[in-house]
Amino acid sequence: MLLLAQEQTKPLFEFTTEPLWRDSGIPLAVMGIFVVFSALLLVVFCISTLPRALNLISPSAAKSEPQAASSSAVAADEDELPEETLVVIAAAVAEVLDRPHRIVKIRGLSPTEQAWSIEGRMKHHLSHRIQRRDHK
Amino acid sequence: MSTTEYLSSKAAQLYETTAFGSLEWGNVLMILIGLAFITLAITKHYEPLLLVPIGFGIVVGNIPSTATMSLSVYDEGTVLRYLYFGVEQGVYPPLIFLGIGAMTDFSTMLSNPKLVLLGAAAQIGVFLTYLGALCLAFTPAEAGAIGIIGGADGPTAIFLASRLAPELLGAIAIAAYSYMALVPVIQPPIMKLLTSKEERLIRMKPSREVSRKERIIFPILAFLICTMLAPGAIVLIGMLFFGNLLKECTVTDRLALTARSAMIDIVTILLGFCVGASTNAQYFLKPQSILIFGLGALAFGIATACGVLFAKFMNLFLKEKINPLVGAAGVSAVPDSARVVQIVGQEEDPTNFLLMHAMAPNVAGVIGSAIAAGVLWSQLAG
Repeated sequence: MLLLAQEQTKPLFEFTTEPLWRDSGIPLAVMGIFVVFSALLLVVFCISTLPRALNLISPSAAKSEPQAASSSAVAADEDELPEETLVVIAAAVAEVLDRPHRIVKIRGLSPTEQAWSIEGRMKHHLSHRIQRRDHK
Repeated sequence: MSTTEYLSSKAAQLYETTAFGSLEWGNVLMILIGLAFITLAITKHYEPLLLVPIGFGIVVGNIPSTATMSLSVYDEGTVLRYLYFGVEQGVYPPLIFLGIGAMTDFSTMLSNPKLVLLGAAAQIGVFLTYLGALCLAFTPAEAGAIGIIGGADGPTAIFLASRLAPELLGAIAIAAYSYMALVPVIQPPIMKLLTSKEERLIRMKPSREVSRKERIIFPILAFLICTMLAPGAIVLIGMLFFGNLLKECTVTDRLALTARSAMIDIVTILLGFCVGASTNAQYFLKPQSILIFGLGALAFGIATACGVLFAKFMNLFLKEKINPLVGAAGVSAVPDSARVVQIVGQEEDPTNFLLMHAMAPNVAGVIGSAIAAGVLWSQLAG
């Protein structure tokens, strides 16, 4: 009967600050935050020094790699394009022009140039015939 | 015995063999919740890959089995019990991490290392919620499992709950995945409340190109650092970085492809379905579950706020300012919270693209929450 009475008066949830002061309370939380920050700070340090470390280990390779990575942002010379690509482009030009011609320059396009969208827009505009309106 | 009596006794016998006989209101409520999950996933596209398996699992888990035919995840020898083994013993979460690693591009993080700290700041929410759960008379192990909901990482929450508080696994998993699905609803008000219009308009510099060598070395290096400091994180972090190495090394494309497509899909189906099926009303509908849902929301909110506030704090010392909205992506709901940052940022300035910047703290948050889980596991297990 006493147990029943105790169960009936038990609240839905209890609130106590006592566990916070044990080892598994605030000290553990602080330690946890410290470990997470330390680990990620070390990761930040390693990431920041990694390019420099790679540069020290193999300067030529490290230099050439970013250049290769940024090649998309810089106009590439003809020499950088593979021979196969040059042959395919030459064949495509010959097929489209169908008359004697000379290719002066071929270069890689950077994503900022938006060559395909400009070409598409040009085609779209050219597809409309502008009619002359004579105003009386 | 008259024909009527015979037929009525047979009807009663038939009724006994159906599930209606032992169906309780709790089961009905849970089935409705499961159907609500499926509806939200299909109509609102809230995390459909997770909510559909979980929702259907909830429906399956709440069909009462008869005494002679035990079918639930809690009954020994059943098919569901064997599938649930992967959840209970923490087999599925590391496999999901392998897939996540194989699909994650860390280059945005590598190109802007300072944003990694935002992923760490968001983990403060985990530990503050842990303290909150302790105050609500949960045991330290239970509180740890509840706190990790703030990491906004479903597999991590399931893994830690299975290790520390298996009896709360269903409620924690459902809370974690529900809040992950509700990222677009929960985060924007907190982000707007803690930032000014000027701060939301800050534009960040485009990231630098990251070399292949850096991307290959990073997973190995980061694994060594993280697991040396928090060995408890070895299972999750190990699989995450192993998956990433498979992706970046370029000589194991087939393995990376399998990890990020077929394998992660299979494990997601099994994990979602089994977690849903474990929410039988008898085990799930308890006052504790309501508290877990409340604490989960709190954890999520605090984690978001900590990320944003830490970004503002960093701006006090930085020359090139960070848009504080990016801090909200420190919770590791990949890529949803990064997408939310992009959307909130574009509400102020449609030409400001924050998505790639937000991906850096987002993936750092995955690492951070796995480390936090490792710390809690190593300190509270046993």
